[in-house]
Amino acid sequence: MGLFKSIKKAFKKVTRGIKKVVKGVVKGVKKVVKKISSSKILKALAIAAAIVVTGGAALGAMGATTGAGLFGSAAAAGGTGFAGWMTGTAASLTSTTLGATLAAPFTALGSAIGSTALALGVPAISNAGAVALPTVSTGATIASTPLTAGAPLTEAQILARANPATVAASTGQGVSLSSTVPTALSTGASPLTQSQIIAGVNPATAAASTGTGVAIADTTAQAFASGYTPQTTAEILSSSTPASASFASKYPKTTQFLTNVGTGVATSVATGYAMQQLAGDPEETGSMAGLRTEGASSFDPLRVYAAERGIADADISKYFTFGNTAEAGNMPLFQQQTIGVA
Amino acid sequence: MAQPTRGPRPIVSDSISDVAAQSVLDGLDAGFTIDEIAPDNGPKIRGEARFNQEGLDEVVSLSAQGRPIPGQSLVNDPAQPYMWEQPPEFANPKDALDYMVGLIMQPDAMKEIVGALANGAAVADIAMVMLYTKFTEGKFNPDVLLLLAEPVMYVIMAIGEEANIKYNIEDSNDLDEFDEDDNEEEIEGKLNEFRNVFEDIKNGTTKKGIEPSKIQSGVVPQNILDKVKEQGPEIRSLLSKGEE
Repeated sequence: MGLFKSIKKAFKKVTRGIKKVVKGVVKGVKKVVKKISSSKILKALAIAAAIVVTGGAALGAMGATTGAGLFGSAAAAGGTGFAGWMTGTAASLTSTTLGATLAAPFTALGSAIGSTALALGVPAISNAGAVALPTVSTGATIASTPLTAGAPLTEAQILARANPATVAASTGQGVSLSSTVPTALSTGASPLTQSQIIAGVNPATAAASTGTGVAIADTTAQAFASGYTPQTTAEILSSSTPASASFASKYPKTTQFLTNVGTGVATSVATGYAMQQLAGDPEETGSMAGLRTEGASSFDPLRVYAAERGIADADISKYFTFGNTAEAGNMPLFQQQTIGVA
Repeated sequence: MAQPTRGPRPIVSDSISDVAAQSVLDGLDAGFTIDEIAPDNGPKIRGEARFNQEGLDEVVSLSAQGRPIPGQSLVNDPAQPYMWEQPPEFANPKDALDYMVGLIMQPDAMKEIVGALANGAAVADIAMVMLYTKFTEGKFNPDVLLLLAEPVMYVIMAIGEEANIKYNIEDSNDLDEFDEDDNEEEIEGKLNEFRNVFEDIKNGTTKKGIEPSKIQSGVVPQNILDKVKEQGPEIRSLLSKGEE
């Protein structure tokens, strides 16, 4: 039997065990409570088991709150519902299965899961979401009201560089920034002239000299209205004549052809280079393939020694001399004289 | 809401099912009502599996895509084992359960699980797919997988209950199984009641304590008593054989 089949068989045992327990509990509960359906007991079991497994955090995460008519405060041990009551049991039980550390992440997950379930139209969780959703919408309404109704900063306040927050605090009804800025700008003093713009006069400097400020919006509008065509930023930076149409836009077919050829050539070159790197240069006899590197064994002093003398690596043990130099006759090691034993 | 008369009793067991069962009974004993433990949220959504030809075709085409040649795994490079052939990430079932429950409680996963349950997928199938996938990813070994089966199934069941879905537990359409049991039990109960009454009649136990001397005078009108006396021998039992 394969592993999957074995697992599936074991799962069936577990499932049957659960069903058996439900049926057993039905009998037990029916002794206490008359006229009760099995599905209700199954629900109670599932809730109790989930509390045990997750330390009550799972139900808290799903939006169960104290007084919500569901399971009570599951996450808090001091809750008044069944889950809260049972959490003490679960905490002691799950010391070997799940610890209290689970409670914190599940509580954090709660709102997200609750809202997901709410989006799915889950009735059981809807009362948890009903508490949260109106809060958000009311908040948005409150935020938008003072922003539109606030009094704008005056021109004098802007020129005096008054802090809008300070002004708002002093007026007690807030300051509408949206209406403040256009009003202040439109009522600015004399705008920059065309010659000033061309000369690159800093509006701030001009404003400081006039003492009444400069309306940037009006300045720019006036400059354009007078028929002056300003250079683009790129043109100013390069100090050259306006760029002509590109080659590509003039000759699209040629560009396409060249692009294809160029891409093809580049691909061929790249492929050829890669192949050469892999296979090595065939014309250079004895050369190593391009991407190969000299192995450590080739630098082995013993191998170098053997290669220099034309000795096969495998037979090198025959040529160990240990000072058996040419002067000494180069006699093989095993034939050297030893101390004779009588 | 009823106030519990006492705290929970400590329960020691090696089975989540057993602990859940004992907890429910303990809760009832402590003063909770079954409605407080498992509140009624109205009619449930039936998670009934329906036959889908497209789904079947997809499964058939997937299964026809070929399987490993027998012995193929034996020629794999031992230096590159599969994830499940390596030491698992979670050797401790507690850590593994922590990891699995954390995954299930993700909003996206919850959404998928609720959808699957509502479409008739069985709790056991969902749990097995999740656990088996994590096993193939090398998260835990098959032994830990089997230890996680029960708690993971219960967590999925709790999600189904919270979503007010009448779900399947095993692979077939068994969502009405418990209701059928209830119906059978009810029929059996009524049959027993009938049998008891019948036995009582048969044994004459209903006549016990009824003696003519104890019958109070005046209970039955005199004219009826006279009629009974007059036509006594002619009165036939309702169960007697009729005239042929």
